[in-house]
This record gives sequence, C-alpha cells and structure tokens, in this order.
Amino acid sequence: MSRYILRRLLGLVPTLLVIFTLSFLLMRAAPGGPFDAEKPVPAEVKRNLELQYHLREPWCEARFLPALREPGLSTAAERAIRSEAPWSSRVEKLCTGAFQYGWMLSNYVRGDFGPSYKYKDRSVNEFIASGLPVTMQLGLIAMCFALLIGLGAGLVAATKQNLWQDHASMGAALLGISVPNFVLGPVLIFVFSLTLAWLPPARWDGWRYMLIPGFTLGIAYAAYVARLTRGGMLEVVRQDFIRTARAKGLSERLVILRHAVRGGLLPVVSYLGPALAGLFTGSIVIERIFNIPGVGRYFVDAALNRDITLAMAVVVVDAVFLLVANLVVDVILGLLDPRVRYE
Amino acid sequence: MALTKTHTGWNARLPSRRREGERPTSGWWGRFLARPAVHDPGKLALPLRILLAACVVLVMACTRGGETFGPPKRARTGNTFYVGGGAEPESIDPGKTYDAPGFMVSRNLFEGLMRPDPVTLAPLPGVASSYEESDDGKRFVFHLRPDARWSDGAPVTAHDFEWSWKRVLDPATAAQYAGLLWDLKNGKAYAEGRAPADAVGVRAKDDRTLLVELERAVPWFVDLLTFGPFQPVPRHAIERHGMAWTRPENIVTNGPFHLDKWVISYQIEIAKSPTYWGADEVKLDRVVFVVSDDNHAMMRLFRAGELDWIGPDVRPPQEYLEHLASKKDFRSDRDLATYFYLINLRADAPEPLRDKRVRKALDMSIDKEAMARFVMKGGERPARTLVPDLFVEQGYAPPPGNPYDPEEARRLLREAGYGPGGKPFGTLEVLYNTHDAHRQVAEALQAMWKRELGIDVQLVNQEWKVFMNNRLEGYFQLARAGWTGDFQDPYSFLSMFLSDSEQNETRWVNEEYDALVREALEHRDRAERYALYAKAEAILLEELPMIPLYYYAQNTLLGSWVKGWHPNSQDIHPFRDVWLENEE
Repeated sequence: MSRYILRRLLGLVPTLLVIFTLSFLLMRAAPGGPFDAEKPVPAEVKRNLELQYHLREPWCEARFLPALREPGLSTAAERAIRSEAPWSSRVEKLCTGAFQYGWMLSNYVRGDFGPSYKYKDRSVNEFIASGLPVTMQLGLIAMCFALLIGLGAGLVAATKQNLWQDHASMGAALLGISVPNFVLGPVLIFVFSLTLAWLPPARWDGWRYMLIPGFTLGIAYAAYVARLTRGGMLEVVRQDFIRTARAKGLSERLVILRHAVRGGLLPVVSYLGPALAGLFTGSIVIERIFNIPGVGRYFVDAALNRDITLAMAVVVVDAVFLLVANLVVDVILGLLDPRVRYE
Repeated sequence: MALTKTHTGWNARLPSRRREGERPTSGWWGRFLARPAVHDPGKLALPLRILLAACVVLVMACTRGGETFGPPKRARTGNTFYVGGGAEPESIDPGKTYDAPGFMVSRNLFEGLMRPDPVTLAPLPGVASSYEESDDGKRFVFHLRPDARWSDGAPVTAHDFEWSWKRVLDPATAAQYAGLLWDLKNGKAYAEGRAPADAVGVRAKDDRTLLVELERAVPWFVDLLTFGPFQPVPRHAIERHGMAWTRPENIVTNGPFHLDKWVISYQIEIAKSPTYWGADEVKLDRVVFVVSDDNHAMMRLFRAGELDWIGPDVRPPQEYLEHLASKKDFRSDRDLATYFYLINLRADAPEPLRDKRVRKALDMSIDKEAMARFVMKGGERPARTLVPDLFVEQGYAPPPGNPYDPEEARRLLREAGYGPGGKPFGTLEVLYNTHDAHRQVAEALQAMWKRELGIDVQLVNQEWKVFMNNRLEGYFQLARAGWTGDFQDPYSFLSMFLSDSEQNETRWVNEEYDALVREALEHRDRAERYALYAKAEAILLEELPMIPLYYYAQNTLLGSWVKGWHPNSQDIHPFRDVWLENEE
C-alpha cells in the first residue's frame, strides 16, 4: 500500500504543474493590471512597481522594444510605441510573461508563493498561513454538521423506507440542497443573532461564533450525505449477506449497525473527498457573510484585484487539498470494501 | 484619492424572491403534508408549531421599531473604540499606502510635521512646533518639538523626515503617492534618476530644524504635511526588518497610537502610545478596526452593538437608506467627491459626441434633482459642476453650469442636426463598473435620454479592472467616474482635465483652460485663485468633456456615545481626539 501511496503522491506533481500553468495563463490573459486604479499612478511610478513585481523585464524591453528604455516615458508615449510595432510589442510581452512564469515557478519550488501584488507589506505565504487554519476549522465544523445530520437523516430514511420519516428527511434534504447558503446565512443571522440574540452575527472568536456559519456551510452537504446514505443502505439491505444475517436471527439493530452500514456508507466515503475540497471553495460566500478571516474569499477577491500571486496560491493550495483528499478517500475505500485492490 | 472602495465591493445579499402559488397538492410533498394529518393529527402539530413560532419571530423582528438602528445605549464597557475598517489595507506603511483603509490606520500610528484639526482639517502643529515660510512660498523652515519621540524612545529628528521623504521619492520604494513629493526641488529629477539624492529640496540643518525647498509654490503645501507620504517612518526599523517592518513585533511609530495586533482580513488593534508627546490629550486606550468590505456584515455588527462606528469605508447599502433616514444613529454628511460621466473625445469616438451642442443637450436633459433623491436616496446633492459644493463655503463662486431644461436640450440637438428628420444619431453606449447603484444611475440616464431626446442608450457593465482598463485605453463612449479630492483645493478636481494629465481619459484639450488653471497656482491669495478656477470651470462646463451628476454623501452609522467625532469634507477623524461616553 505504501508503494501505491507513493506513486499517487508522485502523480500529483505533473497535475499541479498543469494547474499552475493554466491559472497563470488565465491571470495573464485577464485585461487590466494590479496597479490600475481610478486615480492612475504616474507613469514613472507604475513602471517602478511593474519592475519590482516582474510585470516588466528590462532584458526583454532592451531586446525587442528598445524604445521603451527611454527614461520618463509617459503612458501615451508607450502606447504609441507599442501600436507602431505591434509584433515586437507582442513578442516583448510574451518574453516578459515567460520571465514572470519562471520567476513564480522558481519561487514555488522553494515553497515560496511570492509577494502579494496588492498587499505591499505582505508575502502570499503569510496570507495562506493565517487564513488556511481558519478555513480548515470552518470546513471541519461544517463537515461535522454534514455527517451528523446527513448520516442520521439518511439512516432514518433507509430504515423507515416510504414511511413518513423517510419523506420528511428526504424533503428536508431536498430543501437543504435547494436553498443557497447566501440565503440561509442571512436568515439564520436574522433569527438567531439579531432577533433572539443567542449567537453573534459575524466574526470568528470562539465556538459560539462557529455554529451558524458551520451549520450554513454544512447543511447542503448534509443533504447530499443523507441522500447517498439512504441510497447506499437501501441497496445493501437487499443483498444476500444481509438476508443471511437476518436468518441467523440477529436483531435488526445489529444487522443495520454492524453489517449494513459498512457497505452502505461506501458512496458517502467516496463523496467525502470532493466534498472536503468543496467545503473550502464553498466558504467563499460564508467567509464574507460572517466576516471570517479564511482563505476562501481570496478565490474571488484576489482574482478581481488581479493579485496574480495570491490568486494562484489559493488555486494551487485548493488543488493540493482536493488531490490529497481524493487519495485519502481511495485508501479508506480500500479498507472498507474488500473488493477494492491497490494497483 | 480614487473612489474604488464602493465599486469593487462584492456583496452577497438576500434576493427578494417571492414564492407564490407554489404549493403542490400531489406528489410526495403533498403526501408528506397530507398523510400524517389523516393518520395521526398530533404528529404534524409539532412541525407546524415550530413553523408558526418562526413566523411570529420574523414578523416581530420586522416590525421592531425604535429610534436607533443599533442599540440605543453602548453595549460594551471599557475604553476601546470599535470601528469598521473597510477592506484589508494594502499597506499601513504611510509612505506606500494608496487606499483609504490603509491611511485610516497609518494616520493614527504616525504623525507628520502637521496634524489635521478634527473639525476643519486645517493643519495644526504636529511634530513641528512652528515653521516659517518665505515670501514666494517656495522655502520653509520647520522647527521640531523636542519631546517628539518614537515608540522605542528614540527622538524624532529632522533627519528622519529627510530620509523618509527621499525614501518615498526613491524609485526602488515604488511608492504610489510619490507624485505628491515631485514638487520638492529636484524631487521629480531624483525620482527619475536625473539628480542625486543630495539635490532634493529637503535637508536637516540639525536634529530639530528641517529646511524645505519647492520647485514651484504650492498654496496647500502645509496642508499636505498631515498626509501619509509626508509622515516620518523609522529608518532603524525599516533597515533592520525590510518589508516586515510593519508587523506589530517590529513596528516603531511616532503617533498617538502604536500597533498591537494585526490579523489578516480580520482585525487591526492599535493601543495608546505612552511615548507620544501629546499622550495626555489621547483619551482612548485602544482602537479596534474590524476589517471587512462586506457592507451587509458590518451593518449587522453595528446593529448587534459590536461596532461603535461603521467607519468611513463602509456605506449602508442603498436599500437601507429609507429605513435609516429616521434613525438617530444614522447621519449623512457632505463628501468632497463628485460622481460624473466621462465623454470620449478621441478622434475615433462617435461623431455626435464630438459636437459640444450634443453634449450640452445630454447634460440639460438629465433631471439630477430626481436622480439624487429617488435613485441615490441618501444625502447626495445634484451636481452642475465638477468642483464639489463644499468649496462654496470657502468662497468659491462656481459657474452656473447647465440647468435642467429639456426644451432647450431638444433645440440644441436639432441645431446640431440630429433629432426627428435629422442625421441618424445611432446608439449611445454607456459604460459602468458592475455595481447596483451604478446600474440604477445608468438606467435613469437611459430613461431620461430616451424620454427627452429620443436617443437610444445601451448599457454596458464590466468588472472593475476590465472597466478601468477600457477607460484608460479609451475604449468607451460615455463612462462612469468618481473623484475624491486629495486636498482641500479645487485644483484637486480641475487638474484632472489639464491636457497633459494622466487622468484626462477623455483627451479633451483646451489651452485656455490649461492656462487659467496654471495661472491660478501662481496666486497664493485664495480669493484670487478661486476666481481663476471659476473662470476655468466655466470653460469646462461649456465644453463638457464630462457630465457631473451628483456630489457624494458620507452616509454612516455612529453610536451616540462617540464624542469628539466631527463631520468633515474628507471624512477624516483623528482618533487622538475621539472619546467614548459610557452612560451610567
């Protein structure tokens, strides 16, 4: 099994490289730069910024568009130079992009996500280090809610198939899947914080702060888990080995809890990997509504700010998470299901 | 500074979705509702009861009246001021900051030669206890107070200022506000590498005397000294820690507060600095900036009593404004900012827009009064000029601008050869960045121009950075813009439309206008200067490279227990002068 895990871990490297390259290309292709603002900075200052952040490469300029090396060049003058020589301009941009790609990649190899383009006092590593634990905490709490509620409701539904308990829990599950968390969150805040004043409306400062966001984030997953549990259990309880267990005279409780659950939960386990990764990206909205200092929000914010390094870092970190979670799930599936072999 | 704060904010909100007539009577859902009721009526009663209770709670909450939006009395005790900090600051290094949240923090950590008066924002003595100015306004001598100290105990000297100002100019620092220091003698030359650092017009004569020489007279130079790029930074800490010098464990400050804690995207805490020369005047022990750019989240925190003030960078969303209007903790003050539309005048812009009669017709057919009142709903005022109405109190006599007169507008359009039976006008494209309020303004424009002039308008919205890129590159016909004054002089607004200005995205060129604005700068007497500005603005409003729509308002929520907070044009409230009053 360790050889299997090692091989899978090695397989992560090319996948991550593809993800890194694709997100880099997408960020480069997006119009507008990190230093564009309603009050444009003077051309000279912008130039200094771009030099510092590898959006401009003196070597490429000297090689392909030497006219740009003129000191004190205004934005309009640069625009004119570029439109006069569109091809050289394009080559120069490609060259700069290649330099930037190399710079970022060499940083990544050293475990450094580079400096943030927007937050001038900070490196991206600090953002990840400060936000990731919070997002993980939120994700785990949401996962607890999802499993507790989902497994409970799913088991009830499966054992009381077609009775009102089944319809009630599956109805609730449908509701949980359908109500988006940006609707549920404010409604829960409204009821439990602003009206009843039981729980704080936002922020992240102890367990009382985690209940509403954790529940809001987890509930949609609870609904999936419930439906998967019900489906998996119903399939298993019809199989021969369950009939055998019953025929041996085991109590229904034991049949379900000892024999059926092990097989019936397989779909849930295989769903957990993507779900865990989904919890991280799912927290984009939750973190904003509840003012939680996690990394989820940077998926949107950093991309909108054209903060290339930060946006790419969250994508890569999330990808690592997804891939590792999938690996863990595959290993657990092998332990649970005798039919699975590590190849 | 640019008005980026409200426009990039991405607010998750509750869609007002109504579900009517959506009660299926058959299917499993119907069975769920109906079946237990037949078999065992008692079992349905519990869920029903819960549902009923929830409804009652909701209705009660909706009708909760009261004179205040937040709690009527302060919910906390203790001497800590909780304020909404807006988005995560780009930087709190006063020399490098470019965004409003960053300045709000750095302003309270550092103090320049001057500090702003909390009521008028006029410069009061800060680190400099006095100064002398030469008759031509180009040379200054600042005398530093002997008791000004850094938070590590070292004295603040004139050498600190000399080093800090040159640091901002140094290309390697890449400070975004470096342009403000280009007015120092040889400032721009040094920034471009054409002059050595020694040639820059700032020099420490001794520890307590700073000599400053300017390239040209800048009438508001002393006002600027309260502003970030002119504040001193600790050379010893920066040289030791590099980029990490702004961390709480490394930072050394000279202002009324020092940095205590900084949790990314969550909270910044500053505490009273015992080494500050005026520490006796500082009444707050601590200020907590709650960092979030989600206006709805901040509104909820204020309502729950967790914030004393929602801060200058958090604005109550428009849909709240009518409800808030009668609340005692809501206030709306005038802002030094104008909302307008730019008109592209490049050679490849549409033919009709390059005719100034058409531009005038567009301006005169907008009912700005109605727009301010019914679209914006806050304290916005209709604008006929680019320079905000706040300057009128300082003696600025603005030109009349173009009145709302649809009849005259139609006549102008006919005169230009458009309208019924005239040349085809084509469709106008109105570009704005994606945001609810901007969309509503654009829709109002669309309706008014269609109704009054019969012009078809197409609305185009774009994500912020794409929008800015297209505006800077000139890919637009009409584009939304907003502008806040960096200092209290109309030059801050009028300089935008100088023909060589980077901000002149319309490419409007008028030599007479340029000459008048430049000439105004020569006059150190305010009345003379303002008279020339008014002449220049009259040309601007006759030629109309932009259409002013309204002046921004500072809509905010402030607890009644916050004292020493004064409304002012730039929404700057030094926390050294603020205190909290606990009711017994």
